[in-house]
Parts: sequence; structure tokens; C-alpha cells
Amino acid sequence: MSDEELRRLYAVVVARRTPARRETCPSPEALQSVVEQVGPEQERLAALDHIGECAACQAELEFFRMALGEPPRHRRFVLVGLAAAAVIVLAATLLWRRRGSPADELRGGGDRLELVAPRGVLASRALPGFTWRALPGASGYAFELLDERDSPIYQATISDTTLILPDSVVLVADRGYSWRVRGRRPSGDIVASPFVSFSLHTP
Amino acid sequence: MPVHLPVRTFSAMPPDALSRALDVALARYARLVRRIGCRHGFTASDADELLQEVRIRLWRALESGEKIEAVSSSYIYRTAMSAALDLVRGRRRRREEAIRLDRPSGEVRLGESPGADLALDRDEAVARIAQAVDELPAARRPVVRIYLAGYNHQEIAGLLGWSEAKTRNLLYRGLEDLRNRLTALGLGPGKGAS
Repeated sequence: MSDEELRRLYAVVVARRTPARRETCPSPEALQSVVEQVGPEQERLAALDHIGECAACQAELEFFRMALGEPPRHRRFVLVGLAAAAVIVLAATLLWRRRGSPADELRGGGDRLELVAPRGVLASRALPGFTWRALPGASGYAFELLDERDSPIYQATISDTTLILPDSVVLVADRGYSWRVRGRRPSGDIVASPFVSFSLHTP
Repeated sequence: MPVHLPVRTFSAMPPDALSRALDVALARYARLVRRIGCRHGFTASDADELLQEVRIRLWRALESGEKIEAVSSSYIYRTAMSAALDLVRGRRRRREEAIRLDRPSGEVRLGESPGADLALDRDEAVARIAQAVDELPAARRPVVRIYLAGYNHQEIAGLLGWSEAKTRNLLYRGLEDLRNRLTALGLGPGKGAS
């Protein structure tokens, strides 16, 4: 029996097994985790096992794949990216310590607003603050910190290029966070950095 | 459904300029969405609904053309994933038939009227395939299921974050296992149902 014939007959299996009520289906969040490759692999495999026999979940999975806008990046590349980011953060930290004044080092360049640290995976005790390169002429910055559900957990307006979180904001180890900064030029133009992700690892 | 935007949205910039800024910000993302195409029950109207929702959220969150023009692709992606999650949740809550359960399943085609014997053969084959897939080892079953559902090995590798070599290897072993089980169930080579 060819793969095509197997698929044609398996489509009948899927049509018959797709539940009319969705009580046994993985949650929308679980489907999103599959597309974003977030969470334990066993859980994502279990969700995929169900998706493979449920037309309703397949349609919803496609919704998330569409939202992603492109095929998910390969995890290996993500890990390489995280490792590279860790090296960059380490190098930036060493450079910062060696040369002294952050104001000298963080004088910005160009039209981009570049975030320096934190990025990638950090030891949970190693979050000194959030640092970005200055945007030439910027009068102030809007800082945003989001949790792994993209809900804002802290926002602030600041004129400096370093921000220390207040004690009221508690970050949890092994959870993902992202942050960005928007700067306003004297002309009124807004320049936004991309979101940068990081997590705090428990040693 | 009409969307009522806050009055402040219109104060910063004329609506047509805001609309143009949104078009520019969303152009690349919309191209990506449409390039992926409609599969597995996801339709063009679903894509339109998603894009419209992303557009509305950007409009509401950023309020002005200047901010919209400066928005990053990362922000658009996050907005889109959040919109998709809310749309899927909403559909489930409303118990709408957003998915096409009557999509072509191979079960019934216009102009086709299989004889009783053929239908019986096909039902038997379907039942044995379902049984054989169910009996696959748990480590191989998800990959085989999702492949039979129409995903290719690159898509499966992308979903699981695996290398294509690992995916191909597991898929090959899984399909081989499935064929062995089908043979044991009387659906060996040349025994396909028509």
C-alpha cells in the first residue's frame, strides 16, 4: 500500500475520530506550545499524537502556524543563538568592567536601538539590570518587560540607558521573559528595539 | 463586525495615513501568511480574520502612524500569536464550527458510488489502519500520525525542533513498523482498498 493510499484511508480515520466536543483536545495553549517549540518535548509529542487524529486540532494548529508567519526555526539554531548571545553578554560585561564608565561605552550609534543585556540564559543571581545603547539625541526611553505569555509585567519611562527593576517585580527562575525599549528622538520619531528574550536558570 | 476604535486613535493622524502605516507594517507579515497557504482545514477567510485582528491590535496598541511605522517584525509576530490564541479560545468557547469537518476526507466524492463490496473492503482497511497506528510504540506514533495527516518530514522536523535526518529516520522506522503490522492484519503489499 503506497503512502498516498495510506494517507487517503487515514483521512477517513481522522474524520471519524475528530470529536464533536473538544473536551479531550489539547488546550489552545498546548497547540501554541507545539508551534513555538516551547515546553517539554514529551508534552508536545503527546499533543501531536492527538493532533494527528483530530481534524479540529489540525485546523487550529494551522492557525498558529499561520500566526507564526514562517516555519519555526530549528531548535538547534535557537540553542546556537542562545549560546552566541551568552558569549556576547559575557564579552560586553567584561568590556564594560574593564573600561569603566557605562556612559562612554553606551553612547549609541546609528538609527537602531540596540539592547545589550540581559539576553539568553542567565544564572538566576546574575541579573544586574537592563542595559541598552543610547539612541543619539533621544530624550527618554520607554521600557517594557513581558512574561512568557507576552503580558506586560513592568513598564517605565527613563532617561538613562540602564534600568534596575524595583523589588516589587519578582522574576521566576526557568521562565521566559522578553523586553524592549523605545526611544523618542527630538524630532518626535519613535525608534523601537526588537524584543529580546532571556530566562534565569537555577544552578 | 464593525470595530469601534477609541477616539484618540484618530487624533494623532488622519485615518487614511494610519491605514497606510498599518499596510506598510503588515505587508511582509501578510505575504508570509499567504505564502504558507491554506491547508489542513485552515481557509483563506481564517487568514483574513487573523490579519484583520493583528491590524486592529496594532492600531489600538500603537495609536499613531509614527509608532506603527517603527514597529518591529518581532512585535508583529507576538501580536499575531496572541491574536491567534484569543481567536482559537473564542471559537472553542462559542463552539463554532470554525474548522471544516466536511473537508475532503476521501470518504465521499461527487460522482462516486462504490459498490457495497468495495465500501466494505474500504471500511475494513480503515479499521485495520486505525488499529495498526494505535498499536505503534508511543515514541514513533505521533510522527506517523502527523505524517499520515498530510505533513511532510520537513514540517514535522520544524514542529518538533528535530533535525531532518532524525525525523526521516524515526518516520521511516515508524512507517516500516506500521506496514509490518498491516501485513500481520492482512493488509500487506497489493492489498490496498480502492
